[in-house]
Amino acid sequence: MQQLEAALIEAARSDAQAFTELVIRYQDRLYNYLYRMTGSREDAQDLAQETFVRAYRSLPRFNLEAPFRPWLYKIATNLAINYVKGKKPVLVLEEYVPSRSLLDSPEDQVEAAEVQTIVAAAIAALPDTYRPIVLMRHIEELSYDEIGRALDLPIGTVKVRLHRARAALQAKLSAVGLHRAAEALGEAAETRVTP
Amino acid sequence: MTTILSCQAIEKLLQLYLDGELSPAERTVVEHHVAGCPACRHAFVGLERTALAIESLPRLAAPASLLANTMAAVRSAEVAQAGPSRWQAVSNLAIMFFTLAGVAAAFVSGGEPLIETLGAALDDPASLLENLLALSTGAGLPMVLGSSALLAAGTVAFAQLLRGEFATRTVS
Repeated sequence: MQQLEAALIEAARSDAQAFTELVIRYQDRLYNYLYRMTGSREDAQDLAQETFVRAYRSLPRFNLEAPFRPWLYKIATNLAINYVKGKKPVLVLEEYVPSRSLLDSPEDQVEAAEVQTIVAAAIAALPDTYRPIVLMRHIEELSYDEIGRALDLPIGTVKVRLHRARAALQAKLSAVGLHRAAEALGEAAETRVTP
Repeated sequence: MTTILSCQAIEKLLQLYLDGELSPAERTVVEHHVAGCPACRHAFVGLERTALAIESLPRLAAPASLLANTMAAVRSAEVAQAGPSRWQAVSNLAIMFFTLAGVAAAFVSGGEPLIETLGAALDDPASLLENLLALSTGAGLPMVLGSSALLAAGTVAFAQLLRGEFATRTVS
């Protein structure tokens, strides 16, 4: 996978068609990440486009032995943080999209929509030092090492910030009684950890 | 042999467990502890629920226009990076400099004869080239050559400056 990607990146340095492949590969994840960073679809699209253009220009300087995603997310995060600075925080009005929810009844669906709204708002309210880490870990599923590379942080700092960010989210979600709604999911988790 | 760790130590490991950053042996230690410790079990469930709440957010797909717009922007950036227009501009500037250099040097070396020559050309255009050649072979020639060389050096330096400027802009 890593070798295939390195070959694709090397080709993309001089071939816009190969770069198209990279864009196709990462556009959904990058767009989604930037949507969670900014709270706006329009801003996410603009910033994703700018991220790719900058990546293309800087591709000749990219070290092919390093992982690509952290490098791409570094560009995206810097753009998003600079962009969001000086803007009023966007109120995230979550549109409910049935995902992998275990809840089925209409009442539960309403509750699931509320849960998503509250969770999205709680993430949006996190400081810039925490929000990218939470998103990279839980939405993008980057490792500590990859997050550290993306944010130029030592792994120890990533761990500490992630711990604090999750504690802050947990406190906020508990305060609005969200853990009750997540109980079904929680029970599943409990089953998983039990030997 | 199972390592026994305190609840405090386990609590620190719970996050790493959740994030898949523990070795299989470390995972086993945590699992054994959590199975027999209600307090750590409660802490882990809280952590896991928070993680699941975040991960339950819907993933949005990029709009179709993102790819098309991005590639259009990439291609236009490519043209700006390697396009001939920049070098056309530089060579136009060089031609302008050389023309000005020639005119300025001619004035310095013999302004009056040149004006006379140009004046005469109004009456007899065919005489222009002949008279200009005569002027350039006169005493002003070394001055014309010297001024042109200086301006040529200036033009090259200016072109390099422009090139550096463009290079910086395209990779930033």
